[in-house]
Amino acid sequence: MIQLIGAKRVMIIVVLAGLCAVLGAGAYMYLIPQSDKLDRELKTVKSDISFKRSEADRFRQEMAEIQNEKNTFQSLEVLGFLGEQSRLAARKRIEAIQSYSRVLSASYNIAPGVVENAETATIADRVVLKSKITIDVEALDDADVYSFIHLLENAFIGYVSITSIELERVQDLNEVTLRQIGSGIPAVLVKAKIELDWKTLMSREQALVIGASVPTPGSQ
Amino acid sequence: MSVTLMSPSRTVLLIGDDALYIYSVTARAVRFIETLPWNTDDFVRTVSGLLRKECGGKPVLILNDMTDQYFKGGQRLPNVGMMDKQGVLKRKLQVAFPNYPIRGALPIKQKKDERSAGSDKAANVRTAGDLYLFAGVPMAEPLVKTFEAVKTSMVSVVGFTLLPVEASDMVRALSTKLAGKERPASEWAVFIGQHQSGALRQVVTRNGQLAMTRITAVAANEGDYQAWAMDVYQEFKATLGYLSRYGYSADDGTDLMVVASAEAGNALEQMIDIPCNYSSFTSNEAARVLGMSIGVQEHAGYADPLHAAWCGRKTSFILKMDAADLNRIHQPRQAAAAAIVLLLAGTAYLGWQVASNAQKVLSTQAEISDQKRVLGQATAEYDQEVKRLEAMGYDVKLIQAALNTFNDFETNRMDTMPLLKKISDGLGNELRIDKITVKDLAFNAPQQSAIDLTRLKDAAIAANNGEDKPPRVETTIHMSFPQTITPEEGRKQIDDLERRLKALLPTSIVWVEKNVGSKDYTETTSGAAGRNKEMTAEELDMKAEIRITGPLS
Repeated sequence: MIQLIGAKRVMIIVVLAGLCAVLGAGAYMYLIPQSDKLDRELKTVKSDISFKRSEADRFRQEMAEIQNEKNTFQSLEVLGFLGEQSRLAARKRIEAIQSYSRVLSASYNIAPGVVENAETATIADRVVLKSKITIDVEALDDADVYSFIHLLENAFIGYVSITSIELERVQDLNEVTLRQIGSGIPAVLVKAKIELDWKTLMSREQALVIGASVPTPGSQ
Repeated sequence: MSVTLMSPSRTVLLIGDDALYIYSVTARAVRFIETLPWNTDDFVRTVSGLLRKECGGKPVLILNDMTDQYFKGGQRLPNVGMMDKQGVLKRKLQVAFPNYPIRGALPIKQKKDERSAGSDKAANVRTAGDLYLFAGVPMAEPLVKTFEAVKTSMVSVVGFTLLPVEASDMVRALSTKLAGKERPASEWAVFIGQHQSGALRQVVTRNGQLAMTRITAVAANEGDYQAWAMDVYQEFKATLGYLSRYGYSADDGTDLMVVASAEAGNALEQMIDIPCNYSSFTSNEAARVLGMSIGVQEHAGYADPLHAAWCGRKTSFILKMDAADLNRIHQPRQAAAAAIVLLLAGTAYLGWQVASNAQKVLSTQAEISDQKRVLGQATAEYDQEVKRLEAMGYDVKLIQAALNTFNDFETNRMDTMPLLKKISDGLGNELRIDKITVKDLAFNAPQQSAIDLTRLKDAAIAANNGEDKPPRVETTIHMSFPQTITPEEGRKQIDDLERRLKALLPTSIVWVEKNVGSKDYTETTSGAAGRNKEMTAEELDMKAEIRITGPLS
């Protein structure tokens, strides 16, 4: 066959085939994978740049927001929204509210705290500590009860969310009750039962320390 | 055939009876290389060397001009399918020329009137297959030597063709060009040309198709134009004699074209005594008529340079003969050439791939370098912002978490004071309530009602701009009236209160669950009769209950 084709042609074919092989190997075994690798690297670098810039922008925006919200946050801190739920402090605060509102009595029951996840709090690794409180109030006037509720909502430790109010007039204002009031004996004309949720934010570690069962993030 | 600079450059091996004539054909000229008689010593090596060196290894076209070429016209194939046609044709060729290994079949164009006529013959023509001219060449020693020389030289082979067949379209082209626009080309065209060997080749075409060919010897000496003309005239007359058997008539019109020196041409013209369009020219003049250039020729009166130029520059041939011996040389070389072309194309493509990818790699590297610089700046900017935040002394995430959680609580909080204020406004100074309960339905079960609230709910949805907000707050108001007023008066008071509350709480559903004096009180009636009774039936009848359910805000 070589005699028919000629050594020159065979040589040309061999050289061209070799050249093809070298070029093919260079293109498909080195250059194209290298090009893909560099493309990926470029994408990563661009992604990093984009991330850093967006984070820097976010920080700038947050800084502006923090400047605006700093006072609100400080108020929440002062209000005890970010603290533990001290039963002693709660007792003192209810006594103060009772005194300010002029209700005759306010007997309360604070249930053990339970820990709940809040989606908004997970970014700071915080959980919500919730305690159910039931307060039975006796008063001379329903206006005093309203005042008690108002103070409870705005001056209690942490956050208070009233879930139910039951207000009942137990006696009419008549001569007997007027005489009773005049003689200095407190007359209960109105009774109220208030149920509320007391909520504060606390760190996950803090919740574990006080022994509350802490749900994993994402579960309720 | 138009000849351009793109015409192929080839070596034409003109096989005569006495010798092999070698021509080198390029787009501009035809160069006569050498004549090698068949009995030359070391013929194969000499020719091989000439093909490689003198002719530059160009592809070779073998043009057979020997006497030994046989034709069988009017060979009709049976009407077979496309798939079988080649097989049948091959078999018929083998039957026609069983002893000639080099064979070929040329399809003959049939006149339309032959097919469309209404006769029985025409009907047979229509039902039969195509018509062919079969050609066969015996494997003579000159051919064996030529093939061996080609094999040894290692040059490519374009093909093996027959000079009369390949010259037929030249004859037609010459006839057409000479006729010009003044007259139509004649039905019969006779081309006469003497070759270097002295042989006189006559090619006769009818309507552009090869009708007959003759090769004869001319005895006249060089320079004796009268004798040469007489010889040619005699041969021409003989040719016409043969043609008359095939239907030739002087009335059909004949173009006679002779390649010869001017003197010989003139001498012949004097002798022609039959009506025809006579033209005589040298090979250069004939080439000019054909629009070709064959360059300077030593003997302009010979026709073989013209044939070499015409056939050597063809891109496709009228009849390529099938020679098994030549194919054995030709096909591997053709395959090698194809392989080289493919490999060249592959090399070019891969070279392009390498170049473009290398460029891409370089540009990507440069871009990565630029982007890394940008990343450095972005990182510095980011670090600066982080430091600023840290310097503020606040935990950003904690602030966000605290505020968002607080706002979330606020959104879901039952705001009792505005509701109680509106109820108080609705009561006014005249009415008073016995008991009121306000429940967040997210934490407490709603009370059952005997009233169908669908209609009332529609009004609340309308007040909520078409939004069906789920009820979250349920308020129940218990009232009682003294027996000093009539039940009708009490009912009126309750109805008025309901109306006022609806106006004050448009997004809530307000309804009277139990009105004063109503007899359809659905709750279980309980109490005590006798000494321990707490409330009389009349007192009980003066009680009323109003319910309000509504959204958080």
